[in-house]
Amino acid sequence: MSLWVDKYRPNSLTKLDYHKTQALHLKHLVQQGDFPHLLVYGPSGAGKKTRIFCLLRELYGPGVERLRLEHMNIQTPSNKKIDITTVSSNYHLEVNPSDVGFHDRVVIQELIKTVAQTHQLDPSGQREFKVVVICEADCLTKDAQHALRRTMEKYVATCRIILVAHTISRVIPAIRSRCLGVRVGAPTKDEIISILQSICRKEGLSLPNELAERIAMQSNGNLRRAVLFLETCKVQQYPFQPDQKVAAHDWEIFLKDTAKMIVQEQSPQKLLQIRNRLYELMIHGIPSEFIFKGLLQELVKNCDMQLKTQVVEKAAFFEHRIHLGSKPIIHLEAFVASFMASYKKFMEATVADLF
Amino acid sequence: MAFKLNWISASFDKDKPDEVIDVDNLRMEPAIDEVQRMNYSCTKEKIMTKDWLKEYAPKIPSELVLQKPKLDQLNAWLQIATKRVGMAPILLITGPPGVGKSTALKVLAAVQHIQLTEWETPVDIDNAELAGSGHLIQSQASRFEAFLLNSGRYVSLLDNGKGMKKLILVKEFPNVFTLHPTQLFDILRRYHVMGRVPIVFSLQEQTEGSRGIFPKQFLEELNIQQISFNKVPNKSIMKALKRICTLNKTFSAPSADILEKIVECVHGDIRNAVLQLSYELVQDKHGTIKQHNSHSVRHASHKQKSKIIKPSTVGRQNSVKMSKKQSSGNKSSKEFEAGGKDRQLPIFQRVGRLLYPKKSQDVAFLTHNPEEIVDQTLAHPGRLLHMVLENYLKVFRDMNDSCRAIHYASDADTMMSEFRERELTLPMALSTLARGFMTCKSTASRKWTPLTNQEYFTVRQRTRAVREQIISTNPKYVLMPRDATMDILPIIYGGLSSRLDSHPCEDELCDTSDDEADMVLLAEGSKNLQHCLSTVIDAASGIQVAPKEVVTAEKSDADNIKGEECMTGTPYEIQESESDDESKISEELPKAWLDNDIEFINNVHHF
Repeated sequence: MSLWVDKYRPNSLTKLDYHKTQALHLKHLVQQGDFPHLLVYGPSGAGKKTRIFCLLRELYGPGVERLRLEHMNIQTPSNKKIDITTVSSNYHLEVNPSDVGFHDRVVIQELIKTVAQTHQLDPSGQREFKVVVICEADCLTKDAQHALRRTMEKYVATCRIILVAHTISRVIPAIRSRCLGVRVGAPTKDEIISILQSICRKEGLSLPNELAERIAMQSNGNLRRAVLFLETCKVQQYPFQPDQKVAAHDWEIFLKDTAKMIVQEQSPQKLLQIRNRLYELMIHGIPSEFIFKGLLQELVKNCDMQLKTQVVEKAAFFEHRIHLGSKPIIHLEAFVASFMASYKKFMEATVADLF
Repeated sequence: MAFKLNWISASFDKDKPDEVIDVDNLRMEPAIDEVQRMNYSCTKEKIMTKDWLKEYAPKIPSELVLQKPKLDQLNAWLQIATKRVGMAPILLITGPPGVGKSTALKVLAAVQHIQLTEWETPVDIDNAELAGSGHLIQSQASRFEAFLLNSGRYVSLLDNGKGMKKLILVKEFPNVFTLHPTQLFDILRRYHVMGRVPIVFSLQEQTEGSRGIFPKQFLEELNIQQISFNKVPNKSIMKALKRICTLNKTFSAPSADILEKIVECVHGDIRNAVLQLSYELVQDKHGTIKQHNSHSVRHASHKQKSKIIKPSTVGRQNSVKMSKKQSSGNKSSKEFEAGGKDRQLPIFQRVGRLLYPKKSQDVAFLTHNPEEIVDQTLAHPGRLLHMVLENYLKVFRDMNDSCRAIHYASDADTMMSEFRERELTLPMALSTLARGFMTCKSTASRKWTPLTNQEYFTVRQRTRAVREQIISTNPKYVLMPRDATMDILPIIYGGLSSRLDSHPCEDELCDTSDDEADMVLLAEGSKNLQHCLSTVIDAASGIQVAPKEVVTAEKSDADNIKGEECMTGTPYEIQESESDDESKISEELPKAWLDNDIEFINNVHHF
């Protein structure tokens, strides 16, 4: 038994539950025998990886399911050794170059070179190219993306690249134009509900519709999250109650509390506490843009229309700064500080109006 | 040697002592040359002068310029160490160059009748030369060890100090030890057991960013005591210089002005101060006409920066400033033109100056030039940014001020991240930062708050630790760390803190009971889900783990082997040393800050 998310992951393009026309297109694309580089993008939990995996299986057969984990050791030109972990089968290789920070350019160049220089040994293998799946392509540095552009052109005979990204706004146009963009949108609420119901049928459980709807609402279009919520609910209490509580993620609660603290008191001392909490979130791997978004959503609830525009403007400004700068905490703190300052002014003005 | 003397006299015969001295050239020459030159000119004038440093070196403890408590400490150690039988005690003296570490030791040892033996790193002899002779080729490390052991055992025939206690002084190491410190540690461990004579290591202060040769654990292991000297306060230097002037019969005493300028310029380096003094006096004796060449003006303008500018009115500020600059520049170049040291501020003092800016009486000007504070940084500029950020909230009282300040920090970070135009943007970023923080604070509250070291690096370390833990949960997550941390892990483990057991989550800060109930619920759920975790790992084991494959840029086998070797050793070592460094700094911190503050006040008095 494994997590339901992995257990009920569809493994062929025909078995996918939504975006069926797109799946059909992908199937035709592969049946042709060859395909261009792909750029698969969409929100998390929408099924990008699932589709890629189905595609690879369609392409190479069940051989791609035999995965192995490898640790590669690459030497940078400055003689620094970097370790990177890859997951690969005989036919493809998955790697997350942004894992090694700003050395990702070397990973892209060296890794793809080694993969692409070796031709398929197996004569019975249907295809003459290998596939490299690059995860989190939007987190690559600009340098690495430019390196990728050259690599893509050079080794096009022996290797296809599939990029996975959350957003294409941070992928340079040169790469966007070299790839066939495939957008995987988040499933609708009804689609999620039907998937949850079908999982419960397979597990032999009965799921009240109200609960399914609430889980779908809470998951916010993220199918992975919805299935995980469902499993948590099952472990907590079965048979399901229609009014059963769906627990939010701990980091979301933590973030909400942080927002509450910001609204409660505006002082440099409080800001110091907030900074420590933000650090805590970042240590646990929550990306800064999600922290930003979560904070903003909570904070604007306490604002009137005029203040809202100010706050959102500030948020947009500092969110952009995060991408320009190199230390996200500074810009997060700057946003919190500027919210505190303007909120304090706003509160003082309303109090003054009262008397 | 004879040849060398010829060379010196030949070169100096050309310019007669009464002619203009090329100051530029003088500046370039190292201090030793200055002394030699002086010797030469003095012998020519039939004046008996030797090395001033030797001649006027302190002979009795009361003449030493170091702080009294430190001297007492050193004295006490010497007494105990020489009496002790058994394990050889070791002492480590640190301090900036030229504060008189060795001199203090020599004087105190002489008082207590202890014989000093000093280690000198031998110059390597050419292999070709050695091939002919029957000498044993010995590594420097083994020579060092032999020196340590033998110097205690044998008495030199030339020395008449029979029955005197002994002490070994080590001021430099063979180079091998900087590369492989463990070798040194092994030798010292052996010596600690076998040797009898106490050793004193006299080393330069560990500069920012680089570590000293001895890690803390090692100091504790061998029970090595450490005495660190600070810079010599200006008053003490002045006292010492005055003493030399009174001792000196050949030259007339210089004016107090010149002495003051020397003191100001050497920044607590007594050796340099004496050299400067001798240089000044010799020049006076010759009655050289000093010319204002480009160099002296440059030097003057450099000095001028540290002066407080107080223009009388704001309206005329520019012109007044200019004229003041001119006049004071000329004045100082007339009176004093020897080269000084670059001023270096410890990082805590710099941060202090940024956070507690001093304004001169006219509010429009700051006492300390922001750029200058930044220029004096030795460490990576990013570190200054972090230090300031770490501490500004403790100092600022007003929300609007801190908002403006952090806005400047955000600007600075954005500019600093621009790698392509780094030469241009980095100074701009630092200037923005410094000026921003210095001008933002409106309420002048000067309450003593200890400055803390940067949190940022511990945060980075912990982030790394969390990431490793994620991967250890299921190696597949390395491909999607974002999704894993945001969706899957919260389900498997409940509560942010329990994901990494080592640090407590600040739960007491969340005051809403609703959320706490949520958390509890979540924790229960997570407990029940723990069994899934094991199955997750089972599923992961379905992935075969291949043996490590080494892909190097070079394809040669030798490189591959080398790569693997490095892979096993290096990364952890680096991590350890980093943490070591950090912890050390944070420990030293309150004291350092205090010392700096005192010294800072001293300096101010002197201005």
